[in-house]
Amino acid sequence: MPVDPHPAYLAAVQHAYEVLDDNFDDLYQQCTTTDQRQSLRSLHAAARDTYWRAVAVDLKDSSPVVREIFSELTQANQDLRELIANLQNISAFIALFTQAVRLAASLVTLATVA
Amino acid sequence: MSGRRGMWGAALLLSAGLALLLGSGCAVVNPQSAVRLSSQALLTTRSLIQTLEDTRTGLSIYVEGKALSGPLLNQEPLSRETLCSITSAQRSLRLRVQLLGKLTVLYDHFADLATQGRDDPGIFDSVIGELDPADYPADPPLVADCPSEAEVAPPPDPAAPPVAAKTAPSPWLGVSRSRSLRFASMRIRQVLARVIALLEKELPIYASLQREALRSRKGLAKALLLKFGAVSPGDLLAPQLQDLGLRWDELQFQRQQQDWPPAKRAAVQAALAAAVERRADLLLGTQSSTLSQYLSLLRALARLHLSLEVGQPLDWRQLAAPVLPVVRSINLRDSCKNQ
Repeated sequence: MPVDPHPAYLAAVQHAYEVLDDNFDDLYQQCTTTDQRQSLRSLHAAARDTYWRAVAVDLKDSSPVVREIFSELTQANQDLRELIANLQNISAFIALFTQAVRLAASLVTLATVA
Repeated sequence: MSGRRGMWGAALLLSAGLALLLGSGCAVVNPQSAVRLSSQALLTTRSLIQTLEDTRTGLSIYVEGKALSGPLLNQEPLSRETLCSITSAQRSLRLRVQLLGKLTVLYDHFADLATQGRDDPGIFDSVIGELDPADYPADPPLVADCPSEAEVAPPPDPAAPPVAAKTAPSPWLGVSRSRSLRFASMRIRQVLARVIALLEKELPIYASLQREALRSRKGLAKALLLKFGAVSPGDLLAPQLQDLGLRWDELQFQRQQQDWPPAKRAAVQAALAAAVERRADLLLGTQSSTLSQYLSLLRALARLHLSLEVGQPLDWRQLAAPVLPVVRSINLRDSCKNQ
């Protein structure tokens, strides 16, 4: 019987959201410009929306494209964890997190079975 | 000689008949065991229902918490799409509660079947329908006009005329209670297997929901405690203090804090933040293992059904099963004394 990919996909999407949510206040304090603060707020909202979308739909598709996105998101989560452990540049975090949110949103969209 | 041969033949035939009867699964199902199985199943099922209900209620508290943390932590409010997704998750949880509610009704009937007397008219008479509050949704959606999902079909009217005609014979007429119980147990076990398969699939999602709800509460609690000083850590510290006859004095803390150097204040804040994190981790672990425990209990129930259907006679091995651990623990104490 094939393994249901939903729990793994959901965990990866949740993990990306949690990295920002758990550290949001500290990261917000480190923003130096209004644009950075607004980007952080928007990214936080987008990551949260993506997580809740992943909860509500059935993530079943495990085609090679979807598996590749999942793999990239897992790697991005790992990079985010390492970056946040020794954060020196908020712009680098915002750039990497933007990529992670894009991957998470793509994963949820493409893996959703109507 | 021929008489003796005839007796031998009859004895042989009787033995063969008995062997055939026992071999064909004609062991008697103990009604008391069925009642005990039913009560254990009801405890497990009702407890699981409560956990799912708590998870569902937790999502409403989550939405409220996000409304609070938005302005406090500079976060965007929950979008309409997200509110719709949360409503959808709540609806799914409600459906599972409904399903488990039906399972409790089944077990109630199963216990009734085990206890009904020979002269009772029967419990499956189709005259009185089951009333289940979970069939009648009462809570409003978190946001109006979400993308439509398949609405839950309303339950059949319990006051509708009975399906069975007045003169229809009871389906259990002429069937022994033991056979009825075995048949009912098999059917419930089949339902249980499907419920277990469904929960195995959905448990990671429930765990994820519980995690998100708890993390959100933790984030808000930490902000209120550390950033705004709006809540007291008294209850958090109570387990450390109460047995030693001490109590957190909030007023004293507030007064002293004003004179403390920043490093001392930071140390207390870091300690409280660590305690909140620890408490949240403990809760998360408990929630996760509770869900797994329910799944194990349901699997154990399915195994108990199998035992019941096989029909175990009461012999010395069954009597020994509950007695032996007690005897062993007595021996253990004795061996400790001898050391």
